[in-house]
Amino acid sequence: MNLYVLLKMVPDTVEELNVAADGKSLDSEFLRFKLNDPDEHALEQALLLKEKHGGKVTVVTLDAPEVDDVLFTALAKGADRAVKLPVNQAELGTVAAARVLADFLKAEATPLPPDTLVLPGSYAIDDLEGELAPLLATALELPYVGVVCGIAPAEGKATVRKEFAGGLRGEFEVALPAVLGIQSADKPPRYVPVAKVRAAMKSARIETVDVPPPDRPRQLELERTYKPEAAGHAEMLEGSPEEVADRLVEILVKNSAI
Amino acid sequence: MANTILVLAEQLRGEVTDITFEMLGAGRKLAEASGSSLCAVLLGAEAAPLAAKLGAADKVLVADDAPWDLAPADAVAGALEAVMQQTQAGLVLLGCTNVAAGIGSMLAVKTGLPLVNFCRAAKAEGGGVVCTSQLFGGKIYSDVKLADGKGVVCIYPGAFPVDAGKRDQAPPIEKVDLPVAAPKVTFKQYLEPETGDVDITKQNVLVGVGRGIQTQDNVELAEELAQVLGGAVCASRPVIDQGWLPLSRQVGKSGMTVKPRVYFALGISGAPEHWEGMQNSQCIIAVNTDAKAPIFDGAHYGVVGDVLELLPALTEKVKAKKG
Amino acid sequence: MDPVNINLLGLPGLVLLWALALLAWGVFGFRIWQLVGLLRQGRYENRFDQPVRRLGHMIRHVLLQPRIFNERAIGLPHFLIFWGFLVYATCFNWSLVRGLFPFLPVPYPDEVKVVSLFLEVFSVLVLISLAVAVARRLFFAPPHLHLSLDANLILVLIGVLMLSTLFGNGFRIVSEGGHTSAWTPLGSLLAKAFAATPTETAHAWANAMWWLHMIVVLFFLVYLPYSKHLHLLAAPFNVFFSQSATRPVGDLGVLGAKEDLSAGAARWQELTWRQLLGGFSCAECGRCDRACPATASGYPLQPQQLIQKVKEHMIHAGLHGRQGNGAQKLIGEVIAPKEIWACTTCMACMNCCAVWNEQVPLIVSLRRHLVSEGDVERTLQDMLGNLQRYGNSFGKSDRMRAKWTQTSGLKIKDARKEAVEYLWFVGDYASYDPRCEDITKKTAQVFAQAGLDFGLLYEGERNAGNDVRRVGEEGLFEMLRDKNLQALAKAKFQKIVTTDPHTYHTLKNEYPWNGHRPEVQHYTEVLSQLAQAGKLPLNKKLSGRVTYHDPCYLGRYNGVYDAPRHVLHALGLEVIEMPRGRDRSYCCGAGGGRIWMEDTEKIQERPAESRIREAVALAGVQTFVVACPKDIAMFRDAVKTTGCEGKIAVRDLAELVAKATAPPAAGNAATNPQTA
Repeated sequence: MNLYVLLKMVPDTVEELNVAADGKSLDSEFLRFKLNDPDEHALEQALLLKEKHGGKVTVVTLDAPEVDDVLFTALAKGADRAVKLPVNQAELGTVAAARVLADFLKAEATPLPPDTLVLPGSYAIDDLEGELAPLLATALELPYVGVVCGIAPAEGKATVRKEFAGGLRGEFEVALPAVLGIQSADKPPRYVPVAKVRAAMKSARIETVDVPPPDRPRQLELERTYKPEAAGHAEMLEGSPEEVADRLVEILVKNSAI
Repeated sequence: MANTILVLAEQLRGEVTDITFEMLGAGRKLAEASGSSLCAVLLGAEAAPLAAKLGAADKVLVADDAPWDLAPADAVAGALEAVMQQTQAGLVLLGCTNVAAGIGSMLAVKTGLPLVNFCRAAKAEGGGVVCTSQLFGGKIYSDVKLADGKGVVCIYPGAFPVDAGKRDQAPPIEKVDLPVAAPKVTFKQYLEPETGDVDITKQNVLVGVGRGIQTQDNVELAEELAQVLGGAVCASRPVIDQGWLPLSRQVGKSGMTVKPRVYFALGISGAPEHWEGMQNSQCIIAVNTDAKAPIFDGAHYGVVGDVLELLPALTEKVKAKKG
Repeated sequence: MDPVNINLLGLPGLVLLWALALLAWGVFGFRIWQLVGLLRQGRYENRFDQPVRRLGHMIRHVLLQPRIFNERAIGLPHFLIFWGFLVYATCFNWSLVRGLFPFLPVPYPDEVKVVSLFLEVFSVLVLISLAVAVARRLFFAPPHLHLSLDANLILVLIGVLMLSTLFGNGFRIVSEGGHTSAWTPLGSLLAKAFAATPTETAHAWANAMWWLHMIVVLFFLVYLPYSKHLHLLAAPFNVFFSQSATRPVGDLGVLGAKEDLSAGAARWQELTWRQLLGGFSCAECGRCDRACPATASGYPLQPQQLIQKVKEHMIHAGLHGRQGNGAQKLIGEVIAPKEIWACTTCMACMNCCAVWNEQVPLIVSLRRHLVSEGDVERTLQDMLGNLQRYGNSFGKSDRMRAKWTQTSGLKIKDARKEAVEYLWFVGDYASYDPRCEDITKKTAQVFAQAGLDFGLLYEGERNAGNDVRRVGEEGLFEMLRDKNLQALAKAKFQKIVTTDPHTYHTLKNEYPWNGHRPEVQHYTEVLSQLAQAGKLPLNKKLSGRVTYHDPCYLGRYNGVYDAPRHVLHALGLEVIEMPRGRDRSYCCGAGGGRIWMEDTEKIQERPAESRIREAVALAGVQTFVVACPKDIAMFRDAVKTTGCEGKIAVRDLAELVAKATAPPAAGNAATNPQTA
């Protein structure tokens, strides 16, 4: 199969996020980037598909801090090709990013071969302008399914599972090539030892492919960015575990839970 | 502001979901502030009977000529585009949900309108609309202005009150014909959640565990508390992904929405995806080692401390209380 | 008389002896050649450094066998059988050479009076020892002793050797006229008993005994390299080449490696020759299994079995040609991953192994392979991911590492900015675990009260990598190590003090330091020195009985047993030892990355639970003192799961010191440590 995995770097929320002096963007001082969670699943899903059905996995990113590490990690995990598009991700909204990525994919092959799957993550935590997958599908005029948690390809099509809610999932049949927004892979993302990543850094290469920059980087103008003020706050219980437990029993009684 | 605000009514298996009422409530407010009319769009082969529930809208447009509810996102987006043209609507509200995933983005591209995702507050302001989006897992909010009041807004579930979107009145219903394209994605079947397990939506007490529970063994401590309280254990996504509890115990976006009398959030930081599923619990008790965890902002009672120390003590006390 | 001068079935004795000797030595030589051939297929490692030190180590542990004496019942018997073997082996070869070359102008050994006495004395000692050994096997077998037919057969053969010597002496005396001698007291006794035997018959019997002896020994020679008694040949080499002879205990480095070993071993040939030699040296005594906390808890690991499995697999695959597609895989089929993951790297097995096998590094080699394949359980994977990204296993921001200092009430120096005497390498658990935060603050207060000039690396510190390395993630270990060394290179300090014994071991023994190794101390050592120098302001006298748990990486790995006990004594506490104390200390179950792993199967009793029950059984002890942050987590948990709350409290040594050094309040008398 011909598998494209689109990887996006997002701010690591383990670190404290602060708003910059302009009141709109994030303060870069403590900002660190990591791979968006669903994208990690998208990569895993692609690797699993490759292992089962053969083919080639290409990971594609825009330029972002710490992105090379992520690309080498993907190569160490088993991706065949890593492509970096030298456009600064931070300046682009999702709509413009989708355009850049669509241009790249069109340049790869038009039309894309029938065994192609384009696999972005289902969403990213900073998708203010919408998700990448449907935007890309529209730009490439390909079928799309989002929130995908399972893929079984067959000749020219694939059966995919989409999560609804409450544990309910739906099974859809989709004609290939297609864009699938991956929520979770069949298996949790694999671990790749540091030694293998280092080996990849020595032996593998990140391809840089030039693409025309988008004419309109952002669709939306931010008025203001801020940390949410808590609307309320819990009544905090303090004391030893025993004391707290006593208070909780009272609360349970009050709420007729005992 | 545009004359008509559209709300894409959402349904799952023949039931109108809460997000629909949240959107109707939000839309109602915007419509009143700007003098627009609020129009619900209900799509689906058997959707017509549901229209009566959408009394908060000034009008319900129903298309029941095709199984729209399971149609691919681009088909729904195409249908909405047609409705927008017919109604001259400029503002569309959709759910930021799995069911509606992708529809908003596609509609925005088709119509050339901007899209605002993860919206948790919206107010009319000088002919436009200011939307507040929650980004980075709810850690940062951004305000975005749709200057002419036109755009596609994806409403984050749980951010708006459900009751504001419910009215005991029968709305005028109008049937519409919409273009049906040959779909490239076809619905095959539902895959039911595992059955035979406890139904967490029917419990009075839920003991929810998150990443802070650390190990599978510790889930048993939570199980013990749930047992003495006659409730059940449930979990946030990371715990389910670990395989420590079955999928049927997941609370949140892809899991269940629960409203027990008491919800314990143990070692759950309070990510929006989880909050969405349990925020309407009557009483929320959060225990977390991190005093800054967002869960404390919404919970009724909070304890900063080690779940593993508290659990056995609490289980004992409850046992003693029950005699 | 010459026992070779006989004629059996028309064959002269000399021919027969030559034939038998050539056959036996031939088979023996062939087998040894085969076995050495197997070892040569293993990976190279240099165990030839410091030969003199190695020789000393070998002499001590082969000739004196102190570790055998760790188990009283079999200690002395084994020692005597071993020395009997040496004496008899020497005399056998002497006898054989004399028999093969009748023209040599030397007597047979038993014809030399002193030698004869020696042989007789040893024969009695060995026979008594054999009786003990057989009785132990039949009636008092300890758990995990491998009760093989093999072992019993060998014991019988040795008995035959002894008896044939005694009876040979007896019959010889009879055949030579019955002149008893004080040099052959037992032979003389037997000669009296058989005095009525005709001379000719006695002569024949004497010869028969000599031949019996020789044939049994020659049989032994053939049998030995096919049996567990191969340890007799391999163990001296195993001891000579043991790692601990020249390097820190449990060192995971491989000297002179010719390949990259960080991906571990998936096939037996990917183990080093010394790891393979371990299988030949194993005597199946079961000491390691009896000491292993994983085995005792019912985890699927038995260190002895692991060594044996590698050996059997190597022989099957390497000698019996079971290779290619049908061959069993070392990992997965011969050894299950769950065995490999069960090890806590506590060093109990290696600490008691009488032949100095190296189970822990072997297990780490196998783990490395699993890690390189990404075959890592989910929780562990999360931890490793966290360590890669944030430098700690808690998945918290590295900037939060020293957050505890903000509420410590102290201004603690930043060693990257100003010079300090002690750089305090706090470690992950003491820095991030909320259960340890209070202890860490108290430790800082005690340091400050004692006037210690100390500072931290603050967010420059990373996990030292002990557990990461033992989990088999060598690349990540190197990454963490290099980052720490970079940060340390920029700091100004003279010594390092650590909270975590695992950190202590790794900084002290596993960082290269490029020749500038600073002194690394555990906080208990520092506190002990401060107490001795009278710098600890002991405002309160504590009283009562406590027990102290020796952390594996402080005790067995680094031999620090006394410093923490000194401190407890200085506080006024009475230390009651647990039955498994000091180097027999029983692991809490957290080491080697186990603290990050799940118990996938039902086990009987966790190691920490066993330990708590052991402590609770001590009369009058209500305080369980630990000196490792992971012990706080493990044992406080175990106190709950064993229902021992109220009976015993787990306290860090630093907490007790802080209690004693707290500024005096009104009217305090001797204080019970429990209320600390």
